[in-house]
Amino acid sequence: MPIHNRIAAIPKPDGKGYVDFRGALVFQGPIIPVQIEIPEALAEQLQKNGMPVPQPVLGVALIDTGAGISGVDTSVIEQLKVQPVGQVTVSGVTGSKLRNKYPARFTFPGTNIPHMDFGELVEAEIANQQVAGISMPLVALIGRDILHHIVLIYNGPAGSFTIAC
Amino acid sequence: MSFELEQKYYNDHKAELLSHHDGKFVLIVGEELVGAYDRQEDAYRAGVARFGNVAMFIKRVQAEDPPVSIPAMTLGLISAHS
Repeated sequence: MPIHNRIAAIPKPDGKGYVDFRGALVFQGPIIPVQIEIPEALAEQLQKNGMPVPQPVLGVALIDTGAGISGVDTSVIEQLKVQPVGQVTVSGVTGSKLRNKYPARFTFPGTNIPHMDFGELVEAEIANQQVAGISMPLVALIGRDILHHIVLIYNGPAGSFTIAC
Repeated sequence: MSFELEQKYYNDHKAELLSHHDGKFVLIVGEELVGAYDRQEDAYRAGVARFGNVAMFIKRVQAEDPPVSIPAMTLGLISAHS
């Protein structure tokens, strides 16, 4: 079973060392680098027809145990030119809203976590929310639909987390 | 993309779909039931092979759709600054 350990860290402005080593996880949350691609089935179909395959989008994903379903930023959907596969009603304190669902493939650069194919990612507007100490955009939320298949250990005092899948 | 036609087809035929395809993923385009599949990705693969990269309605057949909540997205709670 692949295991990935990550220690949160926020570099100092001068690049020498890190700020509040243990507190970084509080500000960053459990994030992992992610590359989002079009689904394999679509890539194969485009290649078969001699059409260009959109370039993958790089960013970070935030593991969000509060989310019932995973989400991907709308800018990613636009870049990948992938079409919706249905809708889901997302409820919140301000009411319910119908959101499109999209398929995509996630890979996790720099980790040994295997790629994951998702059929139902909710479109979300999250890229404008900054993650402390990270220059890459937040492009995905990993919710409980994915965590259903993953062991997640959140070690607050150590400022680290572990996922195994 | 509103999927009005497809959602109406699903609602109108829900009892029939439940009796024949409970737990499976149905692919509906317009007012046509293209097929029922064990996995969502199988339904998508079938849809892409037949229709290409177009919007298509894939839905798990189930009696009730569970509510979905994503507080970080709906409330914008991902980061806070004092």
